[in-house]
Amino acid sequence: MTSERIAPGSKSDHGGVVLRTDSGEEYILRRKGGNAFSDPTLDELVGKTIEGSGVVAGRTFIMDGWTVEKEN
Amino acid sequence: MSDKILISNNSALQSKYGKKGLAAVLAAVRALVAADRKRGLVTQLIDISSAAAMKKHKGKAVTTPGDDGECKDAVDAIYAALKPDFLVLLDAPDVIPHFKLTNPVPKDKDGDIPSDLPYASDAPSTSRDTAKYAAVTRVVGRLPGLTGADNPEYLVALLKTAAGFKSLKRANYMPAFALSAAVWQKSTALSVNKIFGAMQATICPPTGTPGVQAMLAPLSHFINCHGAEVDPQFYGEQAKSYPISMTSADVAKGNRKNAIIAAECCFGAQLYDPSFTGGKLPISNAYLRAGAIGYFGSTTTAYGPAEGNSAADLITQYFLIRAMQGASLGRACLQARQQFVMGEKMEDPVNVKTLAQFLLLGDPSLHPCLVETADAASSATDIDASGARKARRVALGAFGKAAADSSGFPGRRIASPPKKLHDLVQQIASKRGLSAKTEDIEAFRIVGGEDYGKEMKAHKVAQQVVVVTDHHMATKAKGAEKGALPKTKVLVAHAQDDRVIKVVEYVRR
Repeated sequence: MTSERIAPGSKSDHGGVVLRTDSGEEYILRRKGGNAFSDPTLDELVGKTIEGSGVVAGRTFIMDGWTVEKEN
Repeated sequence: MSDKILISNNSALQSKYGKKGLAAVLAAVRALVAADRKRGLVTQLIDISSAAAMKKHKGKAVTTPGDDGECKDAVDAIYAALKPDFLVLLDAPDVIPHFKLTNPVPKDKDGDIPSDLPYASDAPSTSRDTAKYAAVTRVVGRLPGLTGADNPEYLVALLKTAAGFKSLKRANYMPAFALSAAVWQKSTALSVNKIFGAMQATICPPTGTPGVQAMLAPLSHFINCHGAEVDPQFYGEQAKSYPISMTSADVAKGNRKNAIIAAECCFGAQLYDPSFTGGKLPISNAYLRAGAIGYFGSTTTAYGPAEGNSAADLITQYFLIRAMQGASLGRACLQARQQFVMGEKMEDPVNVKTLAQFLLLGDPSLHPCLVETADAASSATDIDASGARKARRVALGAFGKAAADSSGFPGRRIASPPKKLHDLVQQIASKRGLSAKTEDIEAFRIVGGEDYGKEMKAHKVAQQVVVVTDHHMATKAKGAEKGALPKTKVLVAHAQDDRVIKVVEYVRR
């Protein structure tokens, strides 16, 4: 999980949490029903590896649950 | 001769809603056709999945419903044969697809732009470049069902709304609701004053969901908030806080029927499948379900300036101003696009994206309010309304082509911009507080517009546009939450023969 700029330079440019998968795909992360622009719960996941469930819609992964993998 | 054509893919409608569902939609269409007849409009549904129906118009049937090229070709054939005053795309993009255009601002990572613009242009479907469709000449709107639905109830309700609507007085649309993110309130105030005259916008924060529900009764809405992909919420902003300004649930509870809406928000008109959000509708769909007759918004990430008005601010203003002057919703959309092409520097990739991404949801033939001047009233009985409309279409067709012909557009990317120009733009960016590394600077050659191209050639000049994106990340203050905050600016420099002639800034909002 990384912290990145979403929609740089646009009306809705903002910092967000991005999930990078093992195969290199990137998705903007959002909790189901959560705030797309500011979510401290997701901020806490930055730098961690997670396994999440939910739906991918366009560039966004809308997550309804996740577990943080333990660091080796 | 038909005035208004409903573009339908009956085969896709049946796949989506079943046989009974298709029958329900077609029954609602018949009711709309009857209502239109009483309004003086000859309306016809054409099934673009029918080879026989398309053969009549020298076109080919759409065999793959999701193929936007096939669909555009079918619409073009129908338009060429019948020259209708209104084109209505019937249902969501899973029945009549948006046409995918290449994103001219790829740094925002939007991918292709789902657009209805090409359906409004005579240009053939052979290009994904928005500039090729900038000669906007047709009146087009979309009556969208719910994407992914298997029950036609929503689409049928929209058809009923369109059939039952009667134009109101301009005064009915003057009490307005305007909502703005706090950080954009100066820009919003400019827009609101141009559209409605002196009035105050509601600011978020402090106002937001659910209190906003009680403020949605006016019939004209102007919204300048944040939006996000696949999200039933809009957001305000102040001091790095992004409270929810409104939701689709607020709209369902607070909105009155007959409203018209212009929303600048990113993704404000994205017609996503509500199953992605636990059944919560996109805000645009929520407005239409609540009885709104027209919604003008963006399918993707939208742009605006730090101060003043440009891009999304302007095209949404133009739409509402025209609609409130007595234009049909579809003509208001067409004239907003044309005014934007004519008035803005289309060499700017941000402006090209703005043209591509904004679209009309709603029956384009509806007039929210009628012209009420004494002259209009006295000549109403003498004038052939259908003839007058067709004369307007001739003038608008010519204007749309002239606007595109007299504009420049970004052409090929320049792999290595001239050093003098590169360094000059870098200096300008630096002076304005942008940290621009070489990899953040992109340059494009400017091409015509037929007349614009001829004039460049006649004057023996070469024009370029240089786009700078500042990637600076500002770390949060000591003691604040972890992470970094974006501090982004986009600067667009227009140049002629390597001399900078205009600079426009778009900043993080």
